[in-house]
Amino acid sequence: METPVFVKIGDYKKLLDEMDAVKTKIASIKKIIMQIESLRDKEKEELSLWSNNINLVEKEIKYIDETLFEPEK
Amino acid sequence: MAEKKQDYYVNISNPNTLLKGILQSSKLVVESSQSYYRSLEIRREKTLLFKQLRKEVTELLQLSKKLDSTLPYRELITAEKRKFSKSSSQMKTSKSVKTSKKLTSKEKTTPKQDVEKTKVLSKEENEILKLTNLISSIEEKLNSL
Repeated sequence: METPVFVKIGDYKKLLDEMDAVKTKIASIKKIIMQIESLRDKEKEELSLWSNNINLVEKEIKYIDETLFEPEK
Repeated sequence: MAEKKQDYYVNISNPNTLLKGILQSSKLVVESSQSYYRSLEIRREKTLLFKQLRKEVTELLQLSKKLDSTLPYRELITAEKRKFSKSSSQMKTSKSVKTSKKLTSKEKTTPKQDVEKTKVLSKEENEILKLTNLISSIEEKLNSL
């Protein structure tokens, strides 16, 4: 059986303040995580851009190579 | 009389398309270079954010500890826990005697080996261990509720 607990108003106020501080901290952490996630997305985009560019360069070089060394007809 | 040196030439068909291709490749390489510097900047920002995150999490941990110590039912829980541990400790000692007999020679470690193992543990591992202990203590508290 649960017994009722009575808390002094002063202590209760302190608890509420601490809870507020915890809530604020959690919100701040969430914000940082969101920022990190957005940065990670940006990094991913940059990486895919690199990958695309390298593929295109490869294509161009292949074309140049074929044109330079193709036998004269 | 010296022999006249002869130069040979190769005919390149479609020179404009070739030039276009080379320029196109150069442009792509420059773009990649720009992207590299952007990535460096992103990484720098990310490192800063991770540092900030670590700081915030440490502060949150401290706040939660503080909150835990201020909670009024803390004394009640510890009293209940003491009662519970007294009764369970007798059972545990009898069990541990039985299990210790089952340990093989491979599983047993000398104190010297233990010291070496603890030295190997890096700072990060220690942090993880500390947090694991904290989690288990919180779980214990939750179970006692």
